[in-house]
Amino acid sequence: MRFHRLDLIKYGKFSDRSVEFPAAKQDFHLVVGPNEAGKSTLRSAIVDLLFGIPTRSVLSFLHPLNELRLGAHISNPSGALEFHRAKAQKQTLRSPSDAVLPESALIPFLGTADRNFFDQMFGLDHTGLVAGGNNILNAENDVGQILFQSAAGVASLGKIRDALVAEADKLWAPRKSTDRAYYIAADQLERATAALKEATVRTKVWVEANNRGEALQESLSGERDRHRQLQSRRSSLERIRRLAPSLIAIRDSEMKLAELGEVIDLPIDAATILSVSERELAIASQRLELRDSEVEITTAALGKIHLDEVILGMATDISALDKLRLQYSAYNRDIERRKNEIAAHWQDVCHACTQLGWMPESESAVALRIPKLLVQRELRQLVRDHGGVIQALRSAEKAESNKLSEIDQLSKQLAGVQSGEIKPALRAALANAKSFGDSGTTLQKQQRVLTKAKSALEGLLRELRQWQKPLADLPAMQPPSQEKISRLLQDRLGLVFDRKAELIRLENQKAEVGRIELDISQFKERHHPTTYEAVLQTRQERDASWLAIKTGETTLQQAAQKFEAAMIHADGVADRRLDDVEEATELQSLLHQLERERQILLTIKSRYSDLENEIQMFDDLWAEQAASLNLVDMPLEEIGAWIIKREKALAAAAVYQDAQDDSDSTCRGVSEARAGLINALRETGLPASEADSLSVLSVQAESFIQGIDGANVRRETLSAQLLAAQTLATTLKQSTDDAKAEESRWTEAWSNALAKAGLSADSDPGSAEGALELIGKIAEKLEKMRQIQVERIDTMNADLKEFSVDANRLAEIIAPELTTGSAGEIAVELANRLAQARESHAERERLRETLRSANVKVLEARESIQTATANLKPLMEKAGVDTRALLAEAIGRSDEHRRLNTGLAEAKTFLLNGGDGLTRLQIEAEIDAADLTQLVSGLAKINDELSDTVQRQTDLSADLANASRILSDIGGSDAAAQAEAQRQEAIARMSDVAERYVKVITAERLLRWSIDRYREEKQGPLLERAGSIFSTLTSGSFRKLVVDFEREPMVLEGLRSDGKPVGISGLSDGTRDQLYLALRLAALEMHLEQAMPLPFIADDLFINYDDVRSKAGFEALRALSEQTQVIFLSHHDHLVPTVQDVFGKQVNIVFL
Amino acid sequence: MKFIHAADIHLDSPLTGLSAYPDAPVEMLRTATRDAFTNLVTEAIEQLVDFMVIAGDLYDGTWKDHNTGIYFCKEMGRLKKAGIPVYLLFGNHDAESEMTKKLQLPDNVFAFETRKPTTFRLEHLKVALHGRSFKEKETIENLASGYPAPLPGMFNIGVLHTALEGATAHANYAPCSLDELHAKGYRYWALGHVHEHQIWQGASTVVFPGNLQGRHIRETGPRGAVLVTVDESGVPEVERLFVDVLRWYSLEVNVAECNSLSEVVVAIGNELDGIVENSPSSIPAAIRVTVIGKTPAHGDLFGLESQLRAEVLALAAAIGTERIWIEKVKVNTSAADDGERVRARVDALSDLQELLEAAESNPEFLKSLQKDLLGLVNKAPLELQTAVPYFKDIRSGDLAGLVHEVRPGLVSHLAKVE
Repeated sequence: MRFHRLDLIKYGKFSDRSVEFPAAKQDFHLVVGPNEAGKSTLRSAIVDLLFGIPTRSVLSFLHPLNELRLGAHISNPSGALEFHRAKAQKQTLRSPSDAVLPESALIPFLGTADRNFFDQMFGLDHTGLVAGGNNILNAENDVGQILFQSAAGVASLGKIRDALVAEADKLWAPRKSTDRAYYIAADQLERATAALKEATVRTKVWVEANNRGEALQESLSGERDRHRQLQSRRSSLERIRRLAPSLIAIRDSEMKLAELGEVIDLPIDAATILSVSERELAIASQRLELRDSEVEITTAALGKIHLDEVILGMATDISALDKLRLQYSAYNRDIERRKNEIAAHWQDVCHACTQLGWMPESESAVALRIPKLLVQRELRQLVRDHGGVIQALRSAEKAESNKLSEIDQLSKQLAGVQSGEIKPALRAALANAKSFGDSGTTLQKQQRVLTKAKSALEGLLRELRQWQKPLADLPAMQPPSQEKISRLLQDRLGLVFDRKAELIRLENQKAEVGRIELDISQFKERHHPTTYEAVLQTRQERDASWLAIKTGETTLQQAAQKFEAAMIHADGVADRRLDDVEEATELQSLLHQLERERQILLTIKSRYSDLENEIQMFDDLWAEQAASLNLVDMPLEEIGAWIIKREKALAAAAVYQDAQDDSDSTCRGVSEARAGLINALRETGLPASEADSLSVLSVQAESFIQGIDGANVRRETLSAQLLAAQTLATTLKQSTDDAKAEESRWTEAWSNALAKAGLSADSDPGSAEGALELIGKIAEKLEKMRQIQVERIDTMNADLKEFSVDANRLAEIIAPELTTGSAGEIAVELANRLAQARESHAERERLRETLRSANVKVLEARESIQTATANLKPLMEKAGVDTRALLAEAIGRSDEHRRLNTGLAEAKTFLLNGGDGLTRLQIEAEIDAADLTQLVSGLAKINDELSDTVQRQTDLSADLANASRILSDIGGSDAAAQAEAQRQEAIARMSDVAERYVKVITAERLLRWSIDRYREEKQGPLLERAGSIFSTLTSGSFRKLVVDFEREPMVLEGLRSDGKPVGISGLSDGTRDQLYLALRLAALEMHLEQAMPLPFIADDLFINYDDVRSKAGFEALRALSEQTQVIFLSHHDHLVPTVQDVFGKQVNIVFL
Repeated sequence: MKFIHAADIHLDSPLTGLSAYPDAPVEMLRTATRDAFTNLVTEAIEQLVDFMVIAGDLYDGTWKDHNTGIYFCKEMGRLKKAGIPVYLLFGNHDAESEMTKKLQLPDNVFAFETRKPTTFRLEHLKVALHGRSFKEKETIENLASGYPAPLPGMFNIGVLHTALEGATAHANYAPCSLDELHAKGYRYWALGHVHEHQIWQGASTVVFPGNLQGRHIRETGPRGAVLVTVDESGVPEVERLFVDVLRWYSLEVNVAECNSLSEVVVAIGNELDGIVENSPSSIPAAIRVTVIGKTPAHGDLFGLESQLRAEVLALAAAIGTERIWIEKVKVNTSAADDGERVRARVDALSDLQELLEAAESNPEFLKSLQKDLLGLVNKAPLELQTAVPYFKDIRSGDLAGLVHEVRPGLVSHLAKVE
């Protein structure tokens, strides 16, 4: 199939663009376009046209996705087709008139090729070329892989095989490893099996445990029976030992009772009663004797006492008199003191009278001169009122005069106030001017804002540095988005990191190569090994010498010695090599190692340089993009910051523009307001200068208006104040008249009061007040003198008189001889006599009490003697005796009888209680049958046997408990079931792993085997054709490609024109790319021999080639272009002459 | 009158084929057969049944742990407390087990003798149970023929462990025919041995209750015993009692329409959702996912089999690890076009495909492959020899099938990658 025409109807940046591909012998077409010209779009258009436009396409930036459309005119030897490809879910294949075409319409042209296959087989770009070259290097030890990868256009065969090997290794390998899935599961299986073994309890084990438990149970029962028997025997012996003494005691008591015979049974306390009664009789007799003599003595003492009954009868009066004596003893002194007080008060009165001008004749005379209380009060009131009356008069007069002078002042002020009028136009002009506030400041402020915005804008524009643009151009720019930049930066950073990593590897590898070289040189120094080359060399020398002899160059005689020496030397070297074969082998191994490491070094170098190139390309690409934005030399790292700065500059420009607009508008307003204000002022008749600023004019107008307004307000205020003052003045005059009348009324009252009080008529209120005070003092003193005389002195004299009368009365009754004495002496003597009479009376009462008590105790003693005798009487009657001695004997017999009976009963009770339920007869029989002497030893023996059986029971119980525990441990646990489940889980895991391993390893072996077979089958023809192309591509530097079958593994080599083979790692990067291209083209040519031809799309394949190599490349493509259409896309127009050189001037060149 | 008829309990026999993976509900299900049996006993007590019949294979024959027997006795103890007697017949597995002879059963458990048929009369229920236990595993005589004639006026139940005619999946023990059972004159035959539930109505009602708990992928679907209710006219009504604690499902997912691994995963996810929706939430499902169909995703599936498994496990985890346990993910797909497309390319890949086809019949290659694989086979433990089907072929050197199975996937995989 070939394209005659490709229609880019709506696709990417293209609209209705057609590209013609006219047929020619060499069906080669060069499409040239600079970057972004749509070259890559063209390549993707071809694929999309043939195989459909993907659901999502990056090429819908201009035309909507659903409108994308391509068209073409294609043909092959069997026919031609004009068709369109639309973007749709289905039925995408259309005729140019948009009729739906079946999807199968392209099958005659494409065969079974799908998008993937077409891209792999018929598409190649520079990246693919380089990747192919690298893959060849990576697979250099596997010729099959190289051939397959190159021929199929796939790069991942090695990766797939490696992935299979890696997966298999993770699953299983003969060597056990904890990382391998199989062994992890195997370990689980092992652990679970061990756990199962541990947890499983065989039935046999259970049966044994059960049997042992039963046997132990039986033994334990036997031992318990024996224990019971021993205990029974021991209790019998212990009973004998316990009861034998009681039995002996019983028998003894019974014998003694029989001996005692008949006994009168007296009460148990008879002996006590007897002894108590005897003691009581003795005590009572003694007491009777003592009390009889006491009665006698007391009666005698009573007869001696004399008592004064008269004085005792007056005791109350005598005591009262003595009390009064003590009470009045201080009265005479007190009366004298009070009289002195009265005299002192009288002196004070006399002094006051003198001040008042009165003559103090007597108390009563003075008392009569004191004015009446009402008069005093009136006089005091008038004194108090005097000040108020005078003050009221003065205030009224002052208020009246003040008000009159105020009226006078207000009238004068009112006459002085001026008047005027303001026009509305002036007020309006002023209001307008004021709306601008302080216009000067406002304008200044706006100017500052403007300046600041301008300088900010300029600063930001400066920050754009050399990429600064006129402000008008900035918004129109379309710089890349931040996301895109960060992605680019990331991509670049990734590359730089890779390069750094590669550089480290490079250094390491160099060091490794150096190390091995050092090893080799050291080895050589140490061993001087003989190399194969040395052997060959000596043999060559020997053979050359022989050849010289053979050809007759020299005579045998001449050369024999040299030949012999060479022969011996050669043999010696060969022998030494055989002798030193170990060293030689080791050296060889080192050399191989060196070679390997050097090859690795080369690979790393190549990768490093690739990365360098990639970074360079990346940077170039960026430089192009930057240039397209007119940002030449803009580093990628800075574009982000630059864009932000640009955005800031745009924002600052907007701010500047706003500030400018504000400023202009304010200026205009101010100037209009100023003109209006000047007019208004002039119309009012005020002078207004054109030079004055708006503020000055505003102040002028404002002060004029304020002046006029202020005067009007003042006149109104003063008028109101004058009217009010005049009204108030009338009222104040009336108040002054009233105060004057009040004063005359007071003066009249004052004269009257002075006359009534007996004070001189010219007394002023002050002296009158002093006279009133002295009068008060005289009245007070007179009152005190009267009180002392009446209340104190007169009362005491009365009391003393009454006391004297009482004393004489009592003295006449009791002791008339005392009446001659003073009342005090009488009282003292009477008191002494009363005290003596009272003492005699008390003594007589005490003796009488003693006598009464003694008589009572005599009676008590007699009663006690009778009671004791009565207590003994019933006992004596019962015992049939009459003396206390006989009674004592009877009581002794009775007590002995009782004691024996009690002992017997106790012994019998003990015997029966301790007899474990046996009767006396059984016990007697048991004790009588026993040998009491053997009792203790028998008991000891049984106790030993008991200890033994207890120990045995303890042992058996422990064994039984243990056996029971073992048995109960087999309690239905599911541990074994769990372990078995885990085992099965492990087996399942192992089984999964094993299955996968079998499949993976089979796949890997299959792949390896088939690739080997592929090589065997294909290497002949493929390498022959590829070698020829390679020769063309390298301009004959290489002759052909060969496989070195001798090497293991065998390797692919290029044979230089001089016959020298060069391995893949020995090829330069560019040459290796050429090798890949040669292999790809050869495979494609071979494919085309069997299959339907499709156009080969080469996308800037020779991007890094010089003209010579490019030409060689086009030469190689020329052969292909005779088999199928070749469309070569490039952004280098310098290739045009080269293409025309190779394909002739008529070659189709399309410029996009 | 009602009773439970159970069989093939296989106490403590493990679930097989389930490999543990992180979050798999392992702990929950390691004692599945026990838990199912405990459920059965609880059900019997709650349903107030009059008695229980166990028709053989209480334990696995090879199972040695006596704890299992003790556990069984404990469960019987629960039934004893509830006053429920149990009539126990020993089958081939029990006959093999040492436990059967030594276990001391509680007095509510009555075992059928092995020497001759035993008849238990339950006078208060008017029920007669006839049965004979296996004396040894290899019992191939017809035991049913020796069972006594039905007791008149009683509801006669025959208890028998048998392969019955034609149950070829199970060993042909105590064979007899369905006609023979119908002809015996019993009203109900309580059978055991066959693990699938089956019921035949006729002169007698003949029932295999199936095993109590599915234990591997060949025992799918709900499992349990049957509850038999007999009305006054003596007609038994049989109702299944599902007591299993894990249910097995074999899920075949046809991915013919899927183009990639991710689409396959989505398809599997949909099917898994279907199972989860249609199964009780209290019972986890063990699922084998088998991917089938001629699919363009064949190459992906070959190369990414491990990833497919991981993704299916992730699906299961998303549904709930307590709900689903993925037993295995098997890829049984084939290439969409049997390699035709690759062949038509006439390029290196189609050459390679031809070579791969040739490998199947290349004795040298097969020999070397066998040598490589024997390394694993020879080291694998005995249990694995039967668990991995490939092992037998590897040992016998019959590897053409394996290569044939692997090849198309490999080719598709190569064609798919770049």
